[in-house]
Amino acid sequence: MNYVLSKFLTIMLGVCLEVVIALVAGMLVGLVLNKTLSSERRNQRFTSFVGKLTLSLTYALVFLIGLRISQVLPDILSRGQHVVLALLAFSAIPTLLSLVISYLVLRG
Amino acid sequence: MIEKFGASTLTLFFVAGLLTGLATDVGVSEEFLWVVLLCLIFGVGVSMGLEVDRIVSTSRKRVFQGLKLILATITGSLVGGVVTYFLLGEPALRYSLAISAGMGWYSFTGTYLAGIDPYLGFLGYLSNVLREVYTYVTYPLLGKKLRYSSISLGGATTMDTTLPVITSVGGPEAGVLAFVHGAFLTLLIPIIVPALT
Repeated sequence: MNYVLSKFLTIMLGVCLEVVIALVAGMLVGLVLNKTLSSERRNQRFTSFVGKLTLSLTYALVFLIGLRISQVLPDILSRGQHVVLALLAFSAIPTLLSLVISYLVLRG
Repeated sequence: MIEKFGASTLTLFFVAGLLTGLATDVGVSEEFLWVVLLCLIFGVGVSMGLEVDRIVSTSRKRVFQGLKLILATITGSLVGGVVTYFLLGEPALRYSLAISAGMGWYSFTGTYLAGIDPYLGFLGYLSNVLREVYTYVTYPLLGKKLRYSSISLGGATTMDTTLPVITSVGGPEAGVLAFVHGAFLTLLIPIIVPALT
């Protein structure tokens, strides 16, 4: 029992706590707002506002990722066709296997 | 939380960042990227909290189907990471698993892995953007034939960016399942990816 508990704690500490805290804190704020905002219309307007804010942050983050990667782009490009192969493999294989396993599971 | 932006607009922002970095000496620290990412995750949490009624009511309708679909998407993505690692031989197995465990959430996976190594961030970001692109292209072809199982193509994007495509091709039932599938994956990815690295 102690072994299982210590193993669990090790895994949980390995997980980035800041990410989990940010997600849970956000959900709690959302839940409180959901109960506080009395009218449906007001709730929808606020949901739309949060959606736009999240979208802006996504754009900002994608721009910053580009900026960060530009610092190592010559190094990445020097790897040649291996990079293209890695991109295609990492995108296609997990996607395809997800589809195959879902098909097998849901069909049964 | 239907966000009507496509992969093309995001690619524009990504390329703009790349060009800005190449043309100027402007850099970005990992700490700053991390803070922006945490703000985004907080925003996603608020959106989910605001839509909790919708998530709960739709979950009740298709609990078992939704659970099976979520587990199949996670299993398929992780097995995909292992297969890719054995095909390419790099990066390390745990990073290969983390890249594939992004399941379409490119902003999170890209930023998180860029904090470890910018090359991993590059792979994590672009391979997950491509997953979204594949969903746009293949769902209209597969959605009618394979029905609900093809929802797993989109991974976490099925609750926002690819939801309109899924709903228009598969109908409202598929849309409901896709929303629940994407919402639960969005909750799980920030736990799975850091746990793997």
